[in-house]
Amino acid sequence: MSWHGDDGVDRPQGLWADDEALARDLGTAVAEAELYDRVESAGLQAFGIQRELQALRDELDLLLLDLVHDSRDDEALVAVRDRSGDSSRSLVFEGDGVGVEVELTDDRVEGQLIPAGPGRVTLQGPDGQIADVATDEVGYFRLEVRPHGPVRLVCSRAGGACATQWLTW
Amino acid sequence: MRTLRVRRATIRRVTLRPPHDTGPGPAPDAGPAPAAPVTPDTSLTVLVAAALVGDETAWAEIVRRHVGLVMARIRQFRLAPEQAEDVAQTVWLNLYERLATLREPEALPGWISTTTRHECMRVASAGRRTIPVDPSTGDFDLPAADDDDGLAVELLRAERHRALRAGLAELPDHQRRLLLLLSTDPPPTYQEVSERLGIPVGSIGPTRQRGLDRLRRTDALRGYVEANTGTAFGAGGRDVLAWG
Repeated sequence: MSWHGDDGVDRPQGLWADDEALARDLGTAVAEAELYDRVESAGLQAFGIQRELQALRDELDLLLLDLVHDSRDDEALVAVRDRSGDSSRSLVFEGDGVGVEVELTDDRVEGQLIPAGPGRVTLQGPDGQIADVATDEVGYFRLEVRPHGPVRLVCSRAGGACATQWLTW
Repeated sequence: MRTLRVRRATIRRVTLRPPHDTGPGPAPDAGPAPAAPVTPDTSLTVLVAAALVGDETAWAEIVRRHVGLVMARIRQFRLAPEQAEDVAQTVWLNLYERLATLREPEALPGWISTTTRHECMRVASAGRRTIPVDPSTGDFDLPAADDDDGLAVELLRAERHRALRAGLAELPDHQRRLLLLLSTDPPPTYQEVSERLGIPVGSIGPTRQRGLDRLRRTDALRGYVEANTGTAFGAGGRDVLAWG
């Protein structure tokens, strides 16, 4: 046990007392530097994105909707994967009596505004708008995209506008 | 049963004022937030208030203080780099909006920890799971368990590695370049190092040793050891024992 020798080195210093242990730890630290930087810069970029959206939010008086159901949470909970090969995912966002239900499949997004009624739906990513569509008269919509990475829906209708929280779809 | 959903607090409208503020002026504990220089000692309360009125430096400091926490969670779930980036982006984007509704800024780390965990679970359950094992360290470097003890271990690990990178940046060029080159995987032979850096093979060993010695004495490593005197042999002791 070379890391806390009897050379008078106090214990915490013993953490890196051995050259090989220090070099190994350093190697891991260096190897993970890139990911660390990416995680940090994602944070720095979020500020600009959110400040920009805030202007829009103030203008429209957007209501924020929280995720209240995610079929993937159920999968994670029971640790069982759907064996049918169906990779669909259902999401429900809610806030203050308003909501939106979303069904994701391999090549599209289908959804329903709650309460039912016509409106317009925009799918946004960190870099801007991904898709935009008008719902039918009962609030059903369909987007022929399958986004990856964090996105949010902004829904506007006669009664007001709302936006879902960010989520990796 | 534990609920997996994110918090349901709904937001009617985002106020640009600090959360504690009820009057028209700045909150008493917010001080001259937007103008005050941000330091590592600036309280979260001040940082949150400043970030909400558009102070990017304050936001950057909030992010910097919690990168280790996000990284620790990501490692617990063994995410691939692209998955990790998605999780991080999602957490940070939601965090900005959450700032406005936080009643107690000191609750921020708890919110980040929980939210990152949920997002990691979702992304991990989407499949494409990878288990990174560093060949140079083998089993020593397996991620800790997905529980609070495991998180403590990973947090300490993230902090330790941040200190090592900061320490490396403090070294003189020739030592830093050598240690960086020797840290690549797989490590180059001394002959290759000699050619790449233009130094004699015989000086590599001694320079490496002096570099490591100096690294131990950098402000970053001494600071880490001082800050963790109490815990280095607590939760992190497991890591240390693994090296033994």
